[in-house]
Amino acid sequence: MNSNSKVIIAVTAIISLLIGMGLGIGAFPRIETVTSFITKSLTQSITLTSMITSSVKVVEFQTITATRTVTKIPETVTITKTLQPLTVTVTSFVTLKEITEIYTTSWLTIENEYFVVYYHPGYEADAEKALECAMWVRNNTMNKYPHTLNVKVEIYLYSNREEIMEKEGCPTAISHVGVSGGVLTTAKIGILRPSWEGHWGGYEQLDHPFRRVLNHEYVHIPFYYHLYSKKKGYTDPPSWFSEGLAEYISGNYLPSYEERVREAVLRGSYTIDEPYS
Amino acid sequence: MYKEYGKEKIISLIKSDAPTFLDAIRKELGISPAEFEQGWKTYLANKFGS
Repeated sequence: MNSNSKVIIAVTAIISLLIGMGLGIGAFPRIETVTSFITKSLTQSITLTSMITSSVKVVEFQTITATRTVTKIPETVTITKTLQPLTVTVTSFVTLKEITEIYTTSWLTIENEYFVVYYHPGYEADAEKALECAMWVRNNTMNKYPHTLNVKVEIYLYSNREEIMEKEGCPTAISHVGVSGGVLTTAKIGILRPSWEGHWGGYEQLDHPFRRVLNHEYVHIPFYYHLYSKKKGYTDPPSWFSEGLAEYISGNYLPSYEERVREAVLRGSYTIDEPYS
Repeated sequence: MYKEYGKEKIISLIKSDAPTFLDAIRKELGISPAEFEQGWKTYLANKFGS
């Protein structure tokens, strides 16, 4: 047994003692169990998502950004479990650096006849708001673009920019439509949570930025469903048609649009194929 | 475009079985792509005065 292993065992014993005594760790005085998950590389720093439970109930999730240290007396310790795709088993010590926003791979849901909203623990109010907005969005779209969907639209509320970039590869929102044999099989929207106070792709200049962006993405669902469920016909409309229709139905009109059109008119570069390029 | 042609035409344009989008304009809106584009340019000229 090397010296590191001895320290690890000692630290594990300390944690077990703390848990056994019902004492808290750091800023969480009522913690009874702490289970940590690795979500990022361990080369320079690591991010730990801790699931904090009290008796049988999940209290909250916290992400802790931590830096590896060689100190012999660590301030806090990890690790009990890893998440895919990482398979690293961490036995090193970490020093608590900072606590960032709630971030976890776990989802909770609320739903109604037309939507299922997926959200992270701690964002119940966002989920309620999203469901309310979704119904407004559906009604608004139905008036201008009548449609019938045979599946519920799934709305995934991401906690922050980092998470939606990692999971969806986009900064604000995206829609996914799956059609098989002419039948709609997937209708999903990934979007930042309603209470997100950062940039919304310019829509933060207008009222109800969440609802506007949600409406835009929602319009894409019947649009691409109708497009992909055709037995024959084109399936590659120009972007000005798909994006323009989504913006029109959503009632979105950013101040920057008019200036961009004006500039293009002056350049004489607008054509039917690429009017919005 | 929506205001000009209405939602029924727009939906028929989406659902069109024409092989290309330009063919769909011809079939569903009843005008040639050139006429459609001219209409667009006329709209822009009226809006921006160019």
